[in-house]
Amino acid sequence: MSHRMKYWLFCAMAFAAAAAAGIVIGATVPAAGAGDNAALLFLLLLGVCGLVMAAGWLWWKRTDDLQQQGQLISWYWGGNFGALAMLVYLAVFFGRHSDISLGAIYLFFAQFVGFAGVWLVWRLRGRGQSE
Amino acid sequence: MKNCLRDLRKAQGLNQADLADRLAISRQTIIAIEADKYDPSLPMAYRMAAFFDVPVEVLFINPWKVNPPDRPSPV
Repeated sequence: MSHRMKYWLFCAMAFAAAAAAGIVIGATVPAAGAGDNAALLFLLLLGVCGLVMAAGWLWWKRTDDLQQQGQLISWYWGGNFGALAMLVYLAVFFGRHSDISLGAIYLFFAQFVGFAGVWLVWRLRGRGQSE
Repeated sequence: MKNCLRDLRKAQGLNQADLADRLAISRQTIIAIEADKYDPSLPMAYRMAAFFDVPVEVLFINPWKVNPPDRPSPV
């Protein structure tokens, strides 16, 4: 199988994993409010998220420098600007303390925490001996 | 960074897709490098040089080195 075919195969697998996770989340999480055993369900769904990331990792390993750079630049600048624009929109049209605005703020904080964690690992792994 | 990837590729009778597949990288990357729009990482540069069995500095022209007048001056 050619590299190109493998690349698209793993790309499709990553999307399929994300779609499957969406179906699992949709089937197990109540439409409103927390269900019974919410803590257990949260842990299980975190595992599902881990599987989605693992599928994405398999695809990522088949991307080259240029493709990774494209993803990183687009997610950082495009993703952050899009998220900020939506955050401002929700705050302006629904109020700063509305449920939807607070949900978006939580998501933004979670994104920052994820960023900080990965950045820290990256920083530590890149350390060498200083002289 | 100026390079002679296109010349080396054509000398081997490969198109961009073939070369990309042989190097396990994307065709888009080959196109960008040949157009001097992307400088590859050092490992990728060495992989390409090894594929064509030439030193890296034959494939990618070092603009910081003292070179003949037809070579680019340092940026």
